[in-house]
Amino acid sequence: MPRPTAEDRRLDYLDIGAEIVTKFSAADSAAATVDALANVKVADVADRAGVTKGAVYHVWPSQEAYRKDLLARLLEHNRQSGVREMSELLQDVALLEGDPRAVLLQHADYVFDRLKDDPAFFARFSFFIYASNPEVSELLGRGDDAIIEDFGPYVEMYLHLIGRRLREPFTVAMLLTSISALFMGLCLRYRTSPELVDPTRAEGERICSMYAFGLEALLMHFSEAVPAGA
Amino acid sequence: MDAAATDVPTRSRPLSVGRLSVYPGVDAPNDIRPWRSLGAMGRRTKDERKDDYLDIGAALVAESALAGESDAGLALAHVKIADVADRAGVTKGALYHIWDSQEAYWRDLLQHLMDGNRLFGADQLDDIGGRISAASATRPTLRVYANALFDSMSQDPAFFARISLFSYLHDEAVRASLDAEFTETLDRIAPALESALGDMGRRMRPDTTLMDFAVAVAALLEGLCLQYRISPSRTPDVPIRGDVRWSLFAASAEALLFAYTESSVDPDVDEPSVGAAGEVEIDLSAAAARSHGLTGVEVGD
Repeated sequence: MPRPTAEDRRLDYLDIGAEIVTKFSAADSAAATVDALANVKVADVADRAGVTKGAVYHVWPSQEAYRKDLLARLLEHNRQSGVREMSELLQDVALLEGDPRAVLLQHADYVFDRLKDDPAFFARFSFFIYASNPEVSELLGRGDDAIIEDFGPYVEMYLHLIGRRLREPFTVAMLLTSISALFMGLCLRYRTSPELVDPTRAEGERICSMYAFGLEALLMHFSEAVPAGA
Repeated sequence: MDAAATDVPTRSRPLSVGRLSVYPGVDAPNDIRPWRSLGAMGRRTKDERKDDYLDIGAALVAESALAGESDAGLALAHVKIADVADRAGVTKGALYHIWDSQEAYWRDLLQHLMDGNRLFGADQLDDIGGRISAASATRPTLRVYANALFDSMSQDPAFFARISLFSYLHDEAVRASLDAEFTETLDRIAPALESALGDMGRRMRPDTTLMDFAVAVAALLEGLCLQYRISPSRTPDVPIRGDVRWSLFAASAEALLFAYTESSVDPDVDEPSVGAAGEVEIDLSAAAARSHGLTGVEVGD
């Protein structure tokens, strides 16, 4: 057997790397979270803030501790958008007295347009590879629990406005999990293939995005008309 | 630096609108200002400074992604030269002889992953179709396919590795590769999907296309796999009917089916029965085979 060439060795080493990527399990790697944010240095943060590194280390004992908190902050990001907009929309009494469906679709379009290009929101996807690390999955889950908590009441309010109610055995959590899944899936797809997600459906006079269309589909399927007299 | 600063996410204030408490249980601090407007940090409390520093970190992450830095998302950060050397049974020096830095290794590894099409399992759908058909005496239903698809993808580490590579999308070669892989998969399943719709007695609604439907279902599948990855308890099965399993994906995919398609027999039925479409027997694998130009495959009625 001939000696491996330099190129053979190079490919061997890359194959090993590829295997680590595809078989990776972060379950027992406590450093995983920190790895994912390794490009954020306390020194740069201090520099940007116009303070010394010591000032930042006064708040966190280590760079790793800072990165853990930063991860939590990044994952909160999507919660802050959307909820705020929802409350602004609901503040507009004129809208509420109009067509609730228009408000729903408008909100869906707004949130999708706002987050589909947002790198800070997108950063969360880098962490799924570390999700077998309980600390990371707990953080990722917390953000989505917040969505259920924040939007649950609005779902029930909306269904009430259009004369529907949840259909047995579906739950608000199932509905919002599916909606949230569709949202993330479409955000991912938008990043690789924007033209596949952008086509807008003409629907009478108004145009509704793929996300709004799917959101309404899920909402209708998971609910049923309230029978007369109920 | 000023231009960058205007794009920095500002600390948003929990809102209380009327009686609607948007952040239940969270008291809004009276004055949270964006970090960049601060002259002196001296008057800030420790908690406020903490927020400032975290906002800066979030901005740095966003900026490095926008600037297209090669380590922006660090999807490969866990692939350490030391570990590779360890597995290869050589010294780190042997690798540093080839790559002069960890970053240089990551750059080559990314290229290697793209070249080898290693992560992008375009054959996965066909495999699932084939396996189900082989394992089942009767023809499977949409529900069975959907359950199997979800089970397979939600357990597949390669899927999550692929998602983490999305943090390299600023690299046009990565984006184009993921785009091509997805489009190719859609083209391959489109004929199968179309024939399955026929089996179910459904057709696309006038304003929708088969491609849109497939894109939406794929997005739902990927999103639910991510939810499962956080915790399997987030994607419970839906007890629509006592004796059969409906994964949340199957149930949600049926919702999209009803929205994107209509009955070709009676398009005016506006509230289809939940769980009905999922129980029609279809044959995705045979149709898929046909779409590959294979002959002699029994496709059914």
